[in-house]
Amino acid sequence: MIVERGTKSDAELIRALSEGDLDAFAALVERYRDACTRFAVRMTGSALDADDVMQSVWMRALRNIRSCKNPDRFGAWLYQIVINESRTYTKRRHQRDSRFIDDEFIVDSIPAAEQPDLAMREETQAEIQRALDCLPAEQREAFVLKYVEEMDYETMAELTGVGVSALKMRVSRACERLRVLLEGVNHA
Amino acid sequence: MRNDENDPRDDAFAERIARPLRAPEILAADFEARLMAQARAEIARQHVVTRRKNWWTTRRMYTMSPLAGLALAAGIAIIAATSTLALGRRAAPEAPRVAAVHDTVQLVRFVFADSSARSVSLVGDFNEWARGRTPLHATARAGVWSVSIPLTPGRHEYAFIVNGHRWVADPLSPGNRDEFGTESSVLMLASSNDAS
Repeated sequence: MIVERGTKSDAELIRALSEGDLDAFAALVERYRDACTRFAVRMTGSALDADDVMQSVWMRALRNIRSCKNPDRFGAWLYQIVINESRTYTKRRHQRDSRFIDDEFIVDSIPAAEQPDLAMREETQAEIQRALDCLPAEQREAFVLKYVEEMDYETMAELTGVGVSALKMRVSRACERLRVLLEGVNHA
Repeated sequence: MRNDENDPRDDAFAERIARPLRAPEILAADFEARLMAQARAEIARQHVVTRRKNWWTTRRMYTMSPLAGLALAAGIAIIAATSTLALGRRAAPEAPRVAAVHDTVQLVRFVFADSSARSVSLVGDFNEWARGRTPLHATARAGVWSVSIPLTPGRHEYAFIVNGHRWVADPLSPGNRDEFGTESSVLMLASSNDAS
């Protein structure tokens, strides 16, 4: 079976993948790669760690593709896996007590052509990422979903399994903490 | 999908600091090659499992003459009787046999170190010796480049192209010189069957 990337719906690709079509898997990876990767990097604080997380995410998605009951909502299903894998990874890292942010790698890994104002943004992004990494994982997750991924609270609640009021509280506390941490770099 | 359910002060502050965080992130250049190698192996494994399951669970209908049926019944009776007699003198139990599923490709990581390199790519019989088709990416260690690619077991010849033009055989692997005097390196990749 030949899958023309970008022209098939998620449901069609998932059906093809269930029949063992590797091209369908490649098409899904291409379609959802950017959004998922950014979330994983923000949550883990490093492109190297996000690499591990995203390998696990896609392999979990592949192994459990038949449990995706609503193929038209594959994106939400996949995002739940990304959130869970990121949580597991950060928890494990916290247990190891080896917090490591490879800021240099994050910046180096972005081709200069795609980042016209890279030099200016480089330091700011690294500082903010470092501050983000200092937040408790659940606050970081809520903040990233709300402001980086620009989701509404209902969607966040559906994906995280956390109630709207608890999410609002986490976002508010994240903002409060970030304001303190970034006081020196952000002239708010 | 934005809404303004937060403290407006939080919104303004968060919006300002979230903007740089919305920049796209790109993983290592070989991320997809590694992922697809794993996915290929997983799909092959699932295919084997499904085929085995299907064979056992598919309903089958056989036709035979009454005479053949009688002969089959007699054969089963003889086997049952023989097995019963043999119960008392059973040999020591054999070690359990586990059916192993082996991948047909293996992921191989190529590492090259050269502090003067600005770009490094891998050429070999597995990519038709095409320059630029398999670039190595710079690792976190200065001057160290790497790429992981799926390869089938067997003998492979390869070399590195440094800065787009300099042909370098792998100093850590045995070399091979072709009839034109060009040196490349040789990788002998054992199959996972051989390793077990």
